[in-house]
Amino acid sequence: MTTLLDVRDLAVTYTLPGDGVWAPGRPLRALEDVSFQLATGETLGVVGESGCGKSTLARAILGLVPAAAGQVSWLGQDIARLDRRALRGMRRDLQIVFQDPLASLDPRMTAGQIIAEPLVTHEPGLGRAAIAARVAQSMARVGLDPRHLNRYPHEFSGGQCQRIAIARATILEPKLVVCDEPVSALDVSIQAQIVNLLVGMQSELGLALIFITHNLAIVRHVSHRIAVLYLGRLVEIGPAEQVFHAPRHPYARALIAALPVADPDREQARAAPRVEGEPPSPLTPPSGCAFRTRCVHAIARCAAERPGLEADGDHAVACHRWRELA
Amino acid sequence: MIAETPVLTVDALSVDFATPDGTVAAVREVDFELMSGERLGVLGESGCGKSQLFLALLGLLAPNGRARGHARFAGQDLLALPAAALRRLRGNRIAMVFQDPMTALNPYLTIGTQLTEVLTVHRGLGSSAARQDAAAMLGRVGLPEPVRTLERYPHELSGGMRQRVLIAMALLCDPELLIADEPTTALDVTVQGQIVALLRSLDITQILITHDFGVLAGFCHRVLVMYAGRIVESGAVREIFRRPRHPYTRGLMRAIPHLEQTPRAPLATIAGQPPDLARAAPGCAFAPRCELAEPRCRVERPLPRAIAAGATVACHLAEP
Ligand SMILES: Nc1ncnc2c1ncn2[C@@H]1O[C@H](COP(=O)(O)OP(=O)(O)OP(=O)(O)O)[C@@H](O)[C@H]1O
Ligand code: SF4
Ligand code: SF4
Ligand SMILES: [Mg+2]
Repeated sequence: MTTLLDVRDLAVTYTLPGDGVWAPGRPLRALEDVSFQLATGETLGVVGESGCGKSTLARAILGLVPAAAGQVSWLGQDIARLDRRALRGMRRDLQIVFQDPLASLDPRMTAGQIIAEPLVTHEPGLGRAAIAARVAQSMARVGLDPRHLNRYPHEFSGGQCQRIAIARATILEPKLVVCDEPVSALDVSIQAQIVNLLVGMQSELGLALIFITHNLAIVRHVSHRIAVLYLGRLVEIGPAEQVFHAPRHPYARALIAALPVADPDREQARAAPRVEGEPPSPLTPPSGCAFRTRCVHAIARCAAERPGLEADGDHAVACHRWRELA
Repeated sequence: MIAETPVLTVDALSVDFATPDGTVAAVREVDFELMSGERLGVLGESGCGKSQLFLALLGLLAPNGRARGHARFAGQDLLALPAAALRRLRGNRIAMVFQDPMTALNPYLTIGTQLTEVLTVHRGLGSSAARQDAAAMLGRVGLPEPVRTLERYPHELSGGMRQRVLIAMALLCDPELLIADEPTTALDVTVQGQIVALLRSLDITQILITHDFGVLAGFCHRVLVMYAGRIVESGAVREIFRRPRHPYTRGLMRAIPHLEQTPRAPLATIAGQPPDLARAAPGCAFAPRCELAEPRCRVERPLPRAIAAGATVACHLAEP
């Protein structure tokens, strides 16, 4: 296994408009100090609540937003310094699938045109017949009827649109597909079809996946490793079973404990949630540990000093007290 | 406490929408009873008619929608009431909480103005008494600093706080029935649990519309499962989870990833997709996706039948 992606101390800052016309912009630290690596063929699940920076991470990996600090390396090269050829190679090998299937597809293009687009861009010498054959193969692989290639996105259901997006993302047999909430807009009965499809394509094509979602049950199901983000910071990362069954960070514990399960006996006996309040605004993050305003274990040190990510084997956590709480 | 007196009795309720593509049969011949103090969950996938069923009861259908049937509430038929009478009932005796709290609040008015309006209009309170009541209610639904919150605008609150404000607003007039449509879907997981706990703590008859099995499991006494505009199964929550009888309910239960499942092993799926409600087909609407379908399923519509105490199933093959 080689390291595909190496994210080091990544920070991304957005500038929001100031309060008045002449007021200076307000910086929003959407990501801070995020580090992890991804190997070929591996699935990394990224979980966290809305606004915690999950989608920003996806965009930074694709080079769609610049890093304010740190770097993202693709096959050992900093993506901010790639030459034109290397950048093309990366764009070919790194694809994305978005949450809203219908909105992410161009309504004026047919399914066939949408799926063929990466081929046309990256393999310009290809003839019509070769393109048609590859599109048909790709459609069949994701469970779409190749005879529907002349239909427009609005003529497909949400689940089928997501299949189109997956066919487009995988037609070049890329090395990594970043999936940003790929099943969140889909119905339960369709969700399972798409999850199976992604997992199946991964073993068929040897893809690596970054699977971003707020759905913990799905993340546990698909991931080899899980990363937990809170307010733009990576608070825990490790093997999926360990993070899920023995989470170390108080936030990861609260998140996993809050997951409702389809079991009335357990759910109806459930005590009130242990974590109170809501995530603070990323515009005014708390000093020290970002979770301290909601953490039942917070002590004075948590406000004074930011906990760094501390590795213990392949399981890392950013909390001053994780050892004594374990 | 669940009493034996029905608060709401719905009888043969259907909803149609007139569209350029023809009539959309959004809700079909729905019957159910809701007992006083009961928490009823309505489960179903997007577009199955969950929302339209209850919007019809409240007279809130889009202009191209039309409801038929009966819905007895407090001695009146909601579907026969004139608009003005229905409006008085809404917000007063029946309250509703929606998925997106931002759209339900007026962005230009403070929380205090919006809450006290409910009290001065519906209950005829004076303004300082209304403010006092409003602040007390905000406290009751778990908002910190209720008095200060009265001065704030919706955009100054987080999603979870806004949903609490809406619940407070719904409770202000002491309604007999609270209908919540996906109240936690737009919220973060850790906040979701807080809102479900809050709703569960209320001593009031409630209907919760959701597609989340976990939320449903923790909230309700009884469940209705809808598919393509019809109730396909109903029963006590524990029974439905322990022994789903309709093939659709069973398919849904199997399709959600369980925590005991082997990672990355294929999940059970329901093949195909829900039917187009503008193209009515004879027989069972689930037949094209059903593994058990027999020839008669495609011609003869299965009607809901009582299959055990308090349980109904609309499937030819369902067994007690
Ligand atoms: N104004 C309208 N005109 C035409 N069809 C409509 C209209 N409103 C709703 N429908 C249709 O009625 C059916 C039932 O809609 P409803 O809103 O009750 O679904 P739902 O079960 O609440 O779904 P969701 O889980 O997505 O909220 C759908 O097929 C929908 O497209
Ligand atoms: S560092 Fe302190 S506040 Fe942060 S999670 Fe650990 S104990 Fe809680
Ligand atoms: S009636 Fe037939 S098609 Fe419908 S759910 Fe039952 S077995 Fe399946
Ligand atoms: Mg709805």
